[in-house]
Order: sequence, then C-alpha cells, then structure tokens
Amino acid sequence: MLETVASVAIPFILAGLGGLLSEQTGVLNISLEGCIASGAFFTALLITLGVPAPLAVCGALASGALLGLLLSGIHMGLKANLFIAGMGVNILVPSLSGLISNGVLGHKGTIRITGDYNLSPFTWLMIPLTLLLTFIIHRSNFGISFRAAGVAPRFLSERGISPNRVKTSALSISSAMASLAGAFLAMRIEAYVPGMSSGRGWIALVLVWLGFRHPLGILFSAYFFSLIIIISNITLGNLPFTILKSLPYIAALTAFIIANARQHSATKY
Amino acid sequence: MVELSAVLKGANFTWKSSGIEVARNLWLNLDGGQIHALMGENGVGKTTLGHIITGVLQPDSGILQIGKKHYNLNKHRDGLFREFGLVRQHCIWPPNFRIREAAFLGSKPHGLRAQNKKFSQTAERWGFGDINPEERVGRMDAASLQRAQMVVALMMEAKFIVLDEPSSAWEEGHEAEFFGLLELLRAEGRAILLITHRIDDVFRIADVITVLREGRIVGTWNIEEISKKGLISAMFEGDKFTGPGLSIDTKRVIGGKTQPGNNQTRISRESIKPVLEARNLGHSRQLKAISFKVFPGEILAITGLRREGLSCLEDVLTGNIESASGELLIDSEPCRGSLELRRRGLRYVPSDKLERGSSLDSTLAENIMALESAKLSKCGWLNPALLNKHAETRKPGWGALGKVNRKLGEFSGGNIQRAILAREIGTGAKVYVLVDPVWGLDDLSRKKVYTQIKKIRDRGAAILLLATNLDEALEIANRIGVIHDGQLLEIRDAVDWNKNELQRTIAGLGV
Amino acid sequence: MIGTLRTISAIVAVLIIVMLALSGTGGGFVSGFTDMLLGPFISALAFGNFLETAAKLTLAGLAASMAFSAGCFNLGGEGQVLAGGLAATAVAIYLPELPRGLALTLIVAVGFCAGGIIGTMSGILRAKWRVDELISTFLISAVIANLGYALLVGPLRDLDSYLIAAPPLPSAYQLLPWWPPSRLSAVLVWAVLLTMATHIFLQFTIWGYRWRLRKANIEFASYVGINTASIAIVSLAASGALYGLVGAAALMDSGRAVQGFTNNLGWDGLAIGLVAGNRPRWIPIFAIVYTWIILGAQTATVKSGFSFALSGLVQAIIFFLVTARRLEGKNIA
Repeated sequence: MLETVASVAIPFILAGLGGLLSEQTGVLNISLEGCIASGAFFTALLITLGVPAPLAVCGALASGALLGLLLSGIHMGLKANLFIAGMGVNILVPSLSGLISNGVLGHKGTIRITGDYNLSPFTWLMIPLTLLLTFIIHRSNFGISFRAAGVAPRFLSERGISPNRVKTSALSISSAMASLAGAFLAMRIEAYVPGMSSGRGWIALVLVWLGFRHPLGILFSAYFFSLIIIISNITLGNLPFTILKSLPYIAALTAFIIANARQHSATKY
Repeated sequence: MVELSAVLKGANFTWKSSGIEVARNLWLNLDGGQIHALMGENGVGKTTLGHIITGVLQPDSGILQIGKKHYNLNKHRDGLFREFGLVRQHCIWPPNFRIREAAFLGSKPHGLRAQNKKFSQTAERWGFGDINPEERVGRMDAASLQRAQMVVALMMEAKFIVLDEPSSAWEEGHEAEFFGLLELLRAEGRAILLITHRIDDVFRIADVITVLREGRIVGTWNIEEISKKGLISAMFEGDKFTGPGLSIDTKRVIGGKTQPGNNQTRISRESIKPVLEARNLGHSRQLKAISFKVFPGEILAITGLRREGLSCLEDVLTGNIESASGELLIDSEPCRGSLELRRRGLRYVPSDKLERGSSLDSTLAENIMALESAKLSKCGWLNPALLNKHAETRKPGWGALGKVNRKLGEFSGGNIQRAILAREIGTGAKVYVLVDPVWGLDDLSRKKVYTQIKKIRDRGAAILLLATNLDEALEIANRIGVIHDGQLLEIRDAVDWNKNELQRTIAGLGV
Repeated sequence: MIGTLRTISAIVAVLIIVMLALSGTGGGFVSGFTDMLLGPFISALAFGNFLETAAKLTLAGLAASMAFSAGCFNLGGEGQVLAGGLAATAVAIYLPELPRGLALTLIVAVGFCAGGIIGTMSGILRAKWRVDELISTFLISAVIANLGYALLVGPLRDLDSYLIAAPPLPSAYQLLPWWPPSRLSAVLVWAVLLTMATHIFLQFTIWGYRWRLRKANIEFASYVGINTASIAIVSLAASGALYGLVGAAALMDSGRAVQGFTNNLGWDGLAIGLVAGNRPRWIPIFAIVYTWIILGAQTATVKSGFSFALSGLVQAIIFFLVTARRLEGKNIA
C-alpha cells in the first residue's frame, strides 16, 4: 500500500517540484500539463524507434527543456501574456505529437511499448531528490538567485545577474522535470495514450500551494493526494471516472481562489 | 598608492514610461580620502544620481571613468560596479531572505560556514558585530539594514561607497559610531558619496559639497568655500522653484512674505458647514490620524513631499485605497470607495495624469465625456456626433486642444492635462480634489487655470489642493497645511505663511 | 493601429506553418497549396459546409470577443459550448413533443443561459475576490468538460447507439438545411445579425462605451466612477452565453450530442477573437480566413492521404503571437 502511494505520487512530485522552481522565480509554469504529455510521447516514440530507454528519457527531458525555452522566449522575449502563451504550449503538444507520430509511425493514436521496466528503485528516490532540491533552493547560490528573481529582480540585477536569464533557466528546468514525470507515466503503463496526463500538470500547480511552496511540503502533499486518489478509486469505484477527472481542476480552482485572497490582503503602502 | 578617483560625465536620465526627464548633464567627481556630500531637496534626483554612478541604474547617456577605465553607462548592464558599494535608504533585499543569503548573492565564497565567517569577520572589524547573518531581512529595522548593507560594501572591499540618506535611519544611539566610521574610511583613502538633506551633518563631516536641483547640478564647492546660508539658498531658493516640470517666477515673494492677493482674505468659518471633512484618516505608517475640513468657497492647500504622506493622502481621499482608520465625509455624511465618491459629486484631478487621469487609447471626446456619459445618452443610446459636439463645447477656456476624435495618446502632455481639466472642472460640482492642476502647462495656460479655479471657488465650491509646488499653494489657497512624516502639521491662513517657513516645515526642520 | 502588427505576424506565421506542414505531406508543395486554396470550392457541398462552419466560428469568435471588449479573458469556451449543447440536448430529451417554433426557441434559449451561467461564475469570482478570470474560466471549463462527458455516457446516453452519444434530436428540433446536402442553415443569419448587434452595442450605447473604457484603461474607468466589477460579470456572462449559443448551434448542426461534437469550437473562437482584438466587426472575415485555412488544409491532407489536426498548431501560434507586446513596435521599458 505504502509503495503504491509512493509510486502513484512520483509524477506529481516531479511536476510539482518543477512547478515550484518556476513559481519561485515569479513565472508560474502553466505549461506543465503539456510538458508531461510531451515527455510521455517522446519516451514512447523513441523507445518504439529502438532507442534504449535511458536515452529515450533523455530525449523526453530535452523536449521539456525546449518547450520551457519556447515559453520563456515568448513570454520574456516577445512579452506575451504568460497564461495564454502557456495554454499555447498545452495546445501545441498534442497537435504536434499527433503530427510527428503520424509522420514517423503512420498513425496518431496510442503507442505501445514493451520492455518490462523496473521502476521500483525510483519510488523512494523521490525523497532524496526532494531533499536535494530543498538544499539547492535554500542553500546554494543558484537557488538563492532563483528566489531573488521572483521577489527582488532589481536586487538580482544589481549583483550582476540577469533576472530574465534566471527565469528562463527556471522555466526550462521546470518543464524538463514535468516531462520526466511524463516519461515515468509512459513507462509505467507501457504506452503513450493521447491525453494521458489528464490534469496532472494542474494538480502539480495545486501542490505548489498546498505544500506552502516548499519542496518537502510538495512531497507530503503529493503523497497525501495520491492516498486520496487510491482510496477514492477503491471506495468510489462506481462513480464515473470522468467525475474523478474533474477533481484536479476543482482543487486547482480552490487553491487559486485561496492564494489570491491571501495575496490580496497586502496593499500598496 | 595610486590616486583613487571616479568621474561621472554628462549623464542624462529619462523615465521611459512617462518621458519625464529626471536628470540632465550630471557631472560628479569622487576622490579617494574625501567625503563628498550630495545635497538637495527631496525629489531632485539625488538618489537617481547615486544609482547612476554605481551602475545599478542605466542612464540614457553618460560616461564613468574609474581610474584609467572608461565605461559607457548606457551600455552597462551588469549592475553594481565592482569598485562601488551602495547603501540604499530603502533596502531592496527580499524580506524572506537571511542577511547572509542577500549578502553573498552572486559572489563567493559558497559554503555556509565560510560565508558566515567572512561576514562576521568584516562586521566585527568595523564595529557591526551585533548583526546576525542568519537573521531574516524582514525582521530587521531600517537602521540595521543600512548597517548590514554597509558590511556588505566593506566585505566586497568597495573603494567608493555611496550612502543614501544614512543618518535618517541610523541616528539613534549610533550617530557617533557612524561619523567615526566615515572618518576611518576616509583615513583609509576610500571615497564616500554621502546623499543627504541634513545640513548639520554635512558641515560636521564632508569635504566637498555638490548641490542638485531639478535634476541638474547647481554647483560643487569645497566645504570651506560655502556657508550654511549659502548652501540653503543653493538648495532651496535661487530664482526658480522646483515642481515637476514647473518653474514659477518667484519675484512676487518680497521680503520673505507673500504679497496677499485680493482673493486671499481670511474667511470666517464658524457658521458654515464643511463640504469635505476628513476625520482621523490613518493608513499604516504613511498617514497618521489626519483631520481637516474644507468649507464652501475656499481652497485648502496641503503641501509636502509625495512620499511623506501626500501621495497616500490622495489615494485615501479619493477612495483608491481604503483607510485603515478614520472616515471621510461629504456634506457631513460618511462616504467610502471611489464609486460612491464620484456619485456624490467629487471632481478629482489626479497626480497620475497618464494612467489614472486619462485613457490614452480612447479619443479626446471619450475622455472628456466620461463623467457625463449617462446624461449624454438617450435611453442608453450614444450619438457620436453629439458627443463630439459636447467635447467641442468643453474646449474653450483651456487653451489649445486638438481634434476631438483623435486618440488622447497622440496629444502632448499639456493637452492631456487640458483634457483632464476640461472634464473635471466647471460643471457645477461643489467638491474638488486637485493634485498638481497645472502639470505640463505653459505660463499663460497656468494663469488661465488658476483664474478658473478661483472662479469655481467664488461660486461656492470647496476645493482641496494637494500641491507639491509651494508657489501654487501660496498663490491660490486660502489656507495651507503641511504634511510631514504622515502627520498634518499645521493649517494656517495662507497670508500667515511665507515660503521659507513652508520649506522648513516640509523638510521637518520645525515650524 | 494597436495590435495590427501582432495580427499580421500571427497570420503570416500561421501561413508559413501551414505551408511547411503541407509541403511535408508528400503531395508536393504547389499541389498541396492549391488543394488548400481551392478546398472549400470544389463542390456545392464543400462550399455550403464551409459557410456553415465559418458562421459557427464567427459566433464563437464573437463570444470570445465579448470578454475582450470589456478587457476580460474567457478561456472557458470549450466547457461553455459543451454546456450549451448538453442543456439543449436535455430539453430535447425531456420535452420531445413541443411545437417546432417553441422547441427551437427553447433550445437556443437554454443553450444561451447554460453558457451564460458558467461565464457568470467566473465574473463573480473576479468581482468579489479578484480571481484572475484567465485561470477561473479555464479551470471551470475543464470541470464542465469532464462532468459533461459523464452526462453523455450516463443519463443522456442513447442506449441504442454504438456511439457515445445522446439520442438524435427530433426533426422538429433541427434547423432546416438551406442547401442540402450541405449543412448551411440559419446560423449564417445569426452570425451576421449578432456581429452587427455587437458592433452597435459597443460603439453606440453607453454600456458599450463603458466596456471599451474598461478595456482601454481599467484604472481610469474606475477613477471616473464606472463600476468595473459589474462590467466584468456582465461581459463574462455574455461571453459564456454566446458560447452556449454556439453549443446549441453545434448540436443542431450535428443532429445529436455525440462525443466531441463541440469540435474544439471554444479554442477556435478564442483564436479568432484574439486575432480580431479591438475590431469585433472584423470577426466574420477572420472566421472565414481561419475556416478556409483549416478546411482547405484538411482537404489537401486527406487527398495526399496524410491527415492530421492542423487547428491545434494554428491556435498555438496565434496564442503565442497575438498577445506579444514586443511585436507592437513600441519601446517597452
């Protein structure tokens, strides 16, 4: 049971930590959902094409990083609205992957992969990973400049560090982590199915707030969330699956409302 | 030892968003072993100059020469120069950071222990041993934060140290320590730029004084070349007075007393009810229990510095932010929020002309009709021809304005201000809040505006003027009050004030 | 004109991508492009369907633009279209024997209201707690999309059909096709009338004037005493309601609520509305161009045996470029 919870939580943790990184620099990564899909798609595609699994995962990571670069180029370079550009990524990925899949494999549906991947070593690897990220964010100069980019960009540029460069790297790392989550999903179910991220990117954003914007908080809330999913799968088995699928969005909306209300109590003076 | 010097040449700076020129042709020469005081009223560009010379603010043009190196400042994008240390008045370190994290951001060493060791060593050496590097920035007071910034400047071995209004946050208990430190640094051969408006401090410690006014250098003197009186007159008087983009001839001020104009008679107010009344308005540190009454047929001016409370007062009075305490009354009835204030007939010329005061993407006619759209419509229908005609009827009295169907953004600043005045003034309202009503206007138009304002006053309107320009207040107000450090200090009849007293009161030098 | 450059660059980028995609289909670039350009005109059927689709997209674009015109964003079109369509379906299922006139009116009205209610929710969140409507409209829509699917597989499902679909509408509940076998119908008239109505509302009424002021400068609008919060509610409600109307139209078009009958109309409408920006009266033109590209490319790719959904790519490019302030050629501080 414990193992199941921890394993269900892995994509949430990866994407949630990615979301945290971008949130810390003040650019919330709306495109997590699309990046998860991209990671899953490229992992499945590359494995189908005969690329060894570890390399395929690297390819998935690269696809995420590229999407992050794309988003930051459009948001910071062209000064487009972050949310709309992020939604653009979320729309682009399924369409582009359909196109690629069609061109390479001749169809655009589910891609099955077989390989019997042993993912159990990764189950508990999330805990040291979270600890490592905590250390990076709170202790390393790298992490400190991440945090400064969000709250005090002027201070950062005073010290000779470009806030935009920090934000760009945060967005690409964040998107890469989300695509890693996607890669994990694809290898776990041994397939890529269009739409398989099914709201996980949005849940990841909720976890950022639920976890009080701290890596350990995200870890625990991801475990908590997975527990709820498992329990509800067992007890609400006859409730339509689609209603369950709308839960992430309800949770996200609630979190946004609460975060907004809290933010708004601060005033100008 | 190589002679230490930094020379700033010909720096110009314009705020990109508004196109307002903040600084023009600044020259400054910093030499090792000297304390250089930069003086001037608030808002003349002292801090801007301090930020330009350290490299944290990019001017439109300007060259900085440090020793034999030349830097093109408009191309410099790497932040603070290595040779410079900057101690800001308002620290910009993030509140949730530890002092250590802020201190070592972007620099070496990396390890936690090494950082703490280096910080403590520097701090102790210079007498700041009480600062705990693990403390959160947000939990420290302004004085300690300036001291912490000082430690960072010293830790980075800055040759040039820029101190922005240090003593205002540093005085209590640490004054002697502060001056001792400055003397030590001078003796070491470092160059110090001390930005301040405190005249006594300057004469106690500085070697060279530069005075800045309206974003320009008035002059640079050695300390022995200038007297306190001479300094004050360089800062405040001269033949022009500062206001944002304004310069009013002050020859009317004779013998320190304003000649009372025929409209500035004292009004007896016992039997009349006030139209606008503020009761104990308070907001965080910016406003402290402000109370006043504005009666029909008078102009009450409140002057002061924008960031000492004038700006916050404007926002509270017009419902832009909610006051934390107290209440606002129109005709003795409480009133809150900008929508209700407008419904009750408030007319308001804001300080922010371009964002709040006008809609640059809308046409001139659409801007002018904004308050009367309901009246101009028939069952909700608007006839564009009628609207243009309405706008045309509003034009006279405010000098030149262009075609009514052009976007307001295509007009000059002066014409934008005229559009605001045409909308707000002169439609029979009885309560006004006017902030810098002659912003951007030339002398002739300015006179016209003052005449109009007096006219509506004489028709019985109650007018509150929030003025950063003292001459304006002295010329048209019946009573004048001064706001300083969030407190409304004193309201007197205008004839009982002179400019000198007003200046001293605004600067907090006592009434 | 503000935003013209963004619009042009978005259209150019879309054309480039479409050409690249077409040249990659193997049928040869020139023939692919010709097929695309001529696609809607190869037959009366294709042309009728082209007009019908353009009309529906005009309505969807107007829906998105209702929110933009007041300075709001409605990213919840997908959910609102679905809600409108399903609410209308429910009317047909539970009140199957109404006279034709009443039935059509009721279907349209119910679709309109269903979308409107959803839009209003975001409007209220915005007015009461200043929750960014960009986020709330999208998230509410995602919830609706899932719940709507649950209705389609559950209570509304037609058990006689192998499709995931509700029962077909009674024929009295469907719009008469004007030009069989194409689907061209009265929706075309709705689109024209509503475009004109929107233009008149925005330009010649006091409410339109207030909406435009809110969009031009929200701080100014509230400074001159305009209730910007209530405008947010009304404009998001109107936007949702029009999307709901699109849903009802899509339902009558396909004859039944079948899985996927909303056919991406929400995002298409958003893309068209974004491109039109300040000029809602141009929406029909943008809708025609958009439809032309999408349907034409479909024809071209089907012909070359390489079909793919182009609209996602086109939308993504539009979303990337139309809000880009750097493309306005303004000096951004």
